[in-house]
Amino acid sequence: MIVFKNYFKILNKHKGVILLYVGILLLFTLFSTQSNNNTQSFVASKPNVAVINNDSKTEIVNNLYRYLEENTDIIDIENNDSKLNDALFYQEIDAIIYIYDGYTNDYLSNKENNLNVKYGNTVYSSYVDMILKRYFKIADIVNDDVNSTDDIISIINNSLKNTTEVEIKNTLDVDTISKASYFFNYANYSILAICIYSTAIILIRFNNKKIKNRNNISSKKSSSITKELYLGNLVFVLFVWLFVVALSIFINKDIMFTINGMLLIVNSLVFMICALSVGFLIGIFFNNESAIAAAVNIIALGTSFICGSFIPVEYLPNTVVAISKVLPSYWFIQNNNLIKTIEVFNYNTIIPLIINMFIIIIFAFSFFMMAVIYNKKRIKN
Amino acid sequence: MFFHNFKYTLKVLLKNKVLVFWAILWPLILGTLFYMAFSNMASSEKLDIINLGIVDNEYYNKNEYLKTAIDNLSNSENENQLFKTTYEDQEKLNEMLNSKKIDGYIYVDINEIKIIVKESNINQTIIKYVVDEIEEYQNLISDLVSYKVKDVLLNNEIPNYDQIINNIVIKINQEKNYFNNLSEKNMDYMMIEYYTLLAMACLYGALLSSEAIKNYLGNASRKGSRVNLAPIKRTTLIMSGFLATFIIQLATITSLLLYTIFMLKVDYGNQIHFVILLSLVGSIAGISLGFLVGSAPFKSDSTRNGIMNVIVMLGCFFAGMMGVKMKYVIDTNLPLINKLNPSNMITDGFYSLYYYDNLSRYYFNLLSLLFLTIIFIIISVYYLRRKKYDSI
Repeated sequence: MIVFKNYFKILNKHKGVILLYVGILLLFTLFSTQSNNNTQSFVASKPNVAVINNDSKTEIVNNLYRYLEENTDIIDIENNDSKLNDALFYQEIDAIIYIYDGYTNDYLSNKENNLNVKYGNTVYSSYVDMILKRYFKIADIVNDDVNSTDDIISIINNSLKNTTEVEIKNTLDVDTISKASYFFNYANYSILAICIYSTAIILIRFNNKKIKNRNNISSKKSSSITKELYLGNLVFVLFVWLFVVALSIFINKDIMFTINGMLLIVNSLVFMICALSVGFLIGIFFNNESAIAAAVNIIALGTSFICGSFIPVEYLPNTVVAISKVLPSYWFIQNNNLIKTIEVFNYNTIIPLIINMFIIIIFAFSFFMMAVIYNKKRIKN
Repeated sequence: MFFHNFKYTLKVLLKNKVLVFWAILWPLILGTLFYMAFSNMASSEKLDIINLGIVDNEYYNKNEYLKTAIDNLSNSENENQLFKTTYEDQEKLNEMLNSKKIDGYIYVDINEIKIIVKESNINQTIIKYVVDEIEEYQNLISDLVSYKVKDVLLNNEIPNYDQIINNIVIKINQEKNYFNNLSEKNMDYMMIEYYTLLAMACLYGALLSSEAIKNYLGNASRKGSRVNLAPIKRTTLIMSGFLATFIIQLATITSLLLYTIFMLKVDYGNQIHFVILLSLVGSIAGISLGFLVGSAPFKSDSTRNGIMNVIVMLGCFFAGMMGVKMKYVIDTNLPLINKLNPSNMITDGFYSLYYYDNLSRYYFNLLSLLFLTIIFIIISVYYLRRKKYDSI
């Protein structure tokens, strides 16, 4: 088993790069855990707003604050133009509301009392606009007909009591399964990078002319060397897969032991085999480490960008989605997205998953065959 | 001798395929990937038309307020159209909800209105908002009517209910402006990704200059040992090397700028001369970083490359390349890191040109970058001057 041992010795020399890809996987794991949908009961989405109050803390202003606290999250940001504008641009807040000095007086005396607002560029900014318009419209109508401040506030608040019942119809723990699915989508980058880099780097070492000549004159059979190399690859890839699975169980816990979770795990194993075959192909095609580093970056990062790993497929332009269909990552990610939505497991819901996995296997087989054919041609030459 | 060395440095650098890939082609490839992935993001940030279902039953048809409001908001000729509405029975709507064809549906019963959804997101919140609003106006009308009636009765007059209700309904239907909208126009935050890309390309000039300097140092390469034997001033060598890397860098940045502006439609604001100035200063900063790392007494090439990659790529990470929010997080929580980070100085400079009207923040970034470049050059000179080798 000297070749098998040597396989891991070579990998050990490149552990820095592999650990870098593992680090990136851990970073993505953090990203994938940042979703906080509650599926047990309906929780209205709350936009983030900053309120700059230059008026006194009058009852009218306090009431506006109360309303905003109920319907938005008021974010505390220093009253500094640059900081507020940055927060708006970087979507930390969705709107800024400026209450000017003397607003309460103008409002109560029915004078022009338009407030200055700045909106961001998000869906939530449009929602803040709706929330604000609702309040100020009602406040304006009430102010026309009612005189005392207490009555104004009481009628505004009574009108704004929203009581519509919202029922959530879901048997699936969407939040946790979505997190697990995002995790595997993000893992596309690291799985590809680790598998391609490690497989290709070993192949390059063993295909080096001097080393190949030395191996050829050794007493060890060429087929035995190949077998041990395959075994090394298999063990390493299985180890990487187990690490990814363990990480997914660590962050998503019980959901990974449901059928949905198991399917995500099986899907990743199928994809891992495909990643291995890509590594084989790259290792056979290129003959220096710098070229491999470039290939890893282009393939892993490229597929992650255009197949829906970093940006969900629904946000990608149609032409990009059409192009990504010729890549195995698309089918892997497509399966992850499908698995998170399946509530009932029957023929109709399972068959698309199997077809997608079959497509990934066909890709893997084609890459292996291309590598083998190219290698044979190269040896002949 | 200056032009001789300049010519050969240019040739050596351009024949190094790895260098050409990372310093010249990689920014273009990454920019294309950004474009493919992010070109739809701006439109996905806008409020889309929400797919709404209505259980088509007699209670819904009898609820005039709700029906009129939903009809209005579903009218495709209305510029404020919010919903695309489907009227079906409950079973069919449940199926549509499961297959995500609708975001939720409204079910009107004898004494309540219910919304059925599958998740709690912004679209579902807006459906609830609209139904709530209809109830709120009903509350408002009843409260105001009772207030007005009380008022009229106190004055010993007979209230005219129809007139009171009519007055309120007219006010409800009136469109009025309650705010002065001061929102900025340039709000596409995905632009930051492209700015970090340009920052990366500028600073990747370090890869070129460190490779060039390696060939002038006796202890860094065999070629360096030979060059050191030649009777040429070191200043001549370094200046010609600087010019060669700067010419390549200039071509790279120009092609990247042209590619991002004309092909990827990246918006750098209206002041292109400031964009060019910042790119040039950024490139010089990158080249001086390469001189510094290349001339510093590191033992191996991989250490040198590792340090340059950490400074550039970690810097780009903090400047928002792998998630724009990261820039904001570092800017607000650990501002010193980004104040010293050359990738962020370039990114923030472009950002200030795009988003802000005044140039103070741009100048701050530009001067910081110049200051950093001078420091890099001073340290490089310290490492390079009067260096002699007893034995190599």
